[in-house]
Amino acid sequence: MTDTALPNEGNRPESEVAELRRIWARPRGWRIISDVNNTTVGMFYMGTALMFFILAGVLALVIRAQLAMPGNDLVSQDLFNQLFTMHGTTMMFLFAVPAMEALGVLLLPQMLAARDLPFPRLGAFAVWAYVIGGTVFFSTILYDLAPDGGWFMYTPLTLIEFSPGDNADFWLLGIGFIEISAIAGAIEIIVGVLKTRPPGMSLARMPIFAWAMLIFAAMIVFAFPAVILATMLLEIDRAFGWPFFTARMGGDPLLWQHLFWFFGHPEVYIIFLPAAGLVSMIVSTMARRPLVGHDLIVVALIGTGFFSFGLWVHHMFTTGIPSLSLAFFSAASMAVAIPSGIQVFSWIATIAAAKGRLRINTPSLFVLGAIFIFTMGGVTGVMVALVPVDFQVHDTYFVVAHLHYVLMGGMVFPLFATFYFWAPMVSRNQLSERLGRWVFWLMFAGFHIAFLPMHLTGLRGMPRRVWTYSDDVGWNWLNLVSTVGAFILAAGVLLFIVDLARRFRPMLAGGGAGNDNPWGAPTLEWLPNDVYTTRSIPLVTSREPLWDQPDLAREVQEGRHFLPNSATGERETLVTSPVEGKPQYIIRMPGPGYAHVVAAAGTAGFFLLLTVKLVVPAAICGVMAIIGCLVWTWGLDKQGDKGLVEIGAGLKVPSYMSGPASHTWWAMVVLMLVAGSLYLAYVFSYLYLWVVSPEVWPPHAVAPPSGEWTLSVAGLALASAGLTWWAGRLLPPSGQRSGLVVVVLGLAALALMASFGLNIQAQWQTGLRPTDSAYGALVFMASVLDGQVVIAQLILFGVAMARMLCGRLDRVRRVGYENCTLLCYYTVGQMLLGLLLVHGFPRVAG
Amino acid sequence: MKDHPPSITRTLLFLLWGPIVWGVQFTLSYGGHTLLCAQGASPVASQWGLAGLALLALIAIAPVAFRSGAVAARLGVLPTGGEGGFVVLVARLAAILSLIAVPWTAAGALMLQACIQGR
Repeated sequence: MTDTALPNEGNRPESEVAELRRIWARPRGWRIISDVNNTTVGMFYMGTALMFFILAGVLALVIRAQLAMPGNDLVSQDLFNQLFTMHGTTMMFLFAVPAMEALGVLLLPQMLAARDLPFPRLGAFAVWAYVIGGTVFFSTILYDLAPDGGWFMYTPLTLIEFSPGDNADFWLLGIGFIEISAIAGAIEIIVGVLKTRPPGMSLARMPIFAWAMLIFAAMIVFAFPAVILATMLLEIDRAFGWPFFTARMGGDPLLWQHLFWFFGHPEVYIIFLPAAGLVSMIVSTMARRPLVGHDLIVVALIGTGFFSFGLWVHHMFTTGIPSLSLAFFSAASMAVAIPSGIQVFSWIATIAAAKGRLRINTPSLFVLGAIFIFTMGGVTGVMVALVPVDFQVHDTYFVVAHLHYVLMGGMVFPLFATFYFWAPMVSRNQLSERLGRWVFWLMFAGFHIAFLPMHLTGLRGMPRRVWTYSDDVGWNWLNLVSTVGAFILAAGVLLFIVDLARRFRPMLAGGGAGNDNPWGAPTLEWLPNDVYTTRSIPLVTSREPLWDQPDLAREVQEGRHFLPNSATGERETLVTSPVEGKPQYIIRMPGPGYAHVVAAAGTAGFFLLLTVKLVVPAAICGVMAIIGCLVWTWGLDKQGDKGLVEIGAGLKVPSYMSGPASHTWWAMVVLMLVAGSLYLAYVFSYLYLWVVSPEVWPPHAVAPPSGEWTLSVAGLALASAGLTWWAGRLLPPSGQRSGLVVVVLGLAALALMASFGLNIQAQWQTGLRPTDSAYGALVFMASVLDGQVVIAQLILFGVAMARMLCGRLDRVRRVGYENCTLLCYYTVGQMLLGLLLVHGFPRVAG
Repeated sequence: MKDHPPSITRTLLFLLWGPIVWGVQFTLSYGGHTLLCAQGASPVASQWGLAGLALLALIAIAPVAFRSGAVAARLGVLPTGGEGGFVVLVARLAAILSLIAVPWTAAGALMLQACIQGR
């Protein structure tokens, strides 16, 4: 196969298009909620994120109205606490990250000319869990039940002694599970970017947005587990009195800050990087030339992704930590300006290289505004990275100004540029250029009027989160100006909503959007689109295919590229090799269904009902979620290896794949990375509390269990892994069943359960209790974390055994077994590491 | 088509080598120095340890920064079709960025006393 020959030279029958439309047809009416197509799911996702943006914006207006004048009592102090907590929480957790994931779901398949992302139901599950859970969580503000401890919920304020009631629990359980939804989306995006690119799209030819989304999703995998662990620890502390954060029992409130900011600072870049990817693409298109320094931008994205994990302590400079630690984090906080600056200079260079050919329209205005605002936020960021400056302005309105400059410039303005730029891809109409310019100028002016004075308000000493202030401290006019600005900004957003209502008409019924490539953009999402994405999957030969392959749109539409039909008669897309983009196999994908909706509703119900201590209904929802997941996954791993199927260019690829080349294997590996990150955050917590309070550790506390216990637990865990491996050797030939495999897998499950139970018993019989001290709490927390993966593993054992009994598992059709094996090895590995830490470390350290 | 396409794991490792080494150096520097201080070790030992760690990190990154083509060839991560230049260039630039980050991170150890509170 060469890069220039078309995969299909002859004319293709028109019936193929009708067949594709039939296979990919969207459900009509209310059944649309069962749809899993990325365009539908992406629009639900984005629509919900936008709704939360508006709701959180309304809360901000109430906050600003309260602060407009001194001594104001428009809202009560308690409600004010809830308002700023919900504003921050909603903007960060319910708007910013979901909006970026929504763009990934919506844009990536089109940009990569894939028919869909590799796990359509997982994406839909993530969306529905977020929609249901987010809506219920936000509604707590209406019932005086909203959390009120600030968006970062610092301990000890949020411990049960100081924050009784359910308000804090709503945050902890609600956010914890919305993070799970975000992780599900991240897995989908990582596998999608690496595996479902079109033929010829090597890493070098990948669009910048795809690079940004890949790094964004990888950061979620490593950052979010820290906050999930933190929310677990605090919820367990509140509910059961395990003293992770109580200083007098060996805990430490600063542990919360470490875990929260290990997530919280990368979170800023998690939001910024996809937006930077979008800006790069819009700048290049509007400047009508390739991006200057494309490769440097990729390096900058990688560098920013890494460096952002070395900054978290700069949120804690005033907590009293050693000077040298301050120096490490101060240095890293300044260093991250280099990769961020590379991107900004690359955009400026691209605009400059256009030599006056830059088109000035609404998307480019928003991009220019974003660059301006983000740069200002970056400069104040370097200021607060300096320890002495941070000591002065910590927890003042200066920081409020800084973070809004970074987030509005780094995410909100690029997002609005995106709305105007990519709307024609999914809507019959473009948004109004005339109104768009009004929207931009209102937002741009309103933003600066609102937030520029806050630098001064902060330098004059106004602390964050105060409900009101006295008349004589010199903050009056600054606050009034900020409030006026906030309302001007809101007027801009309101005008945008009007424009959206008037012009945006989504193409849910199929058929191409009304405006094929109105900007003359170079990337594949602007190929003629339909419900199945593109008629054929293009052979890509450059980084800007629509500029360098002028006939590509016509060729793709005529079916002259890969997979111009449905090779298997089902929903499918092409998988290519991750580095070179060479065709490997096709994925057969699921269509619409309700199981994932039930699973999402059950998951949301489980967490939210647990918050208000309705244990039985919560348990019912939990069971419902598990059943939903089982029904959903039972239909996957379809049989019928349909053998090799022709995709064009004389190439025949498999229609079924197992092992390390398969997309499911990759998804499991990413899931294991998530679980591993969570466990490493636990290991950090264990060692951190030991450093802080060695006096509650052995030899001052109960000694760990004897070596016999340790060896027995380890032996049973290893036996489980060994039996699982052996079951793989016993898998029968295709089409046959094996009772022995069921027995062996059953024994593996029993060994794992026994190992887990014995481990708890080993600690319990020493007399140690989780409520004794932070040491006891951490010892039993290891079992809680083991319990999570053990339960998941037992379900996978059960599924594998059931599949074997039903003739759905054999030597060829083995994905179900492989998933079970991978997680089993991980589970055993985690348990062994836990034994080393919890049984072994106190002996050495003591 | 080559028999063995480049492994994505090795390619990612090669691409990210510089930042990974920096990440390890940063983690060990922060964690190690905190631990040594908490255990009452000599501040001088802590400072020498940090300097040594930085030196090791620079040595580990250098091959990818200065002989990236040879390292890529050795790892077998060069794609076919003239696309290898991108992978090599990105790995090299990321490594050079990390070569700056490593001494920048460690610089504090030479200028500040370890184990004292900042305020």
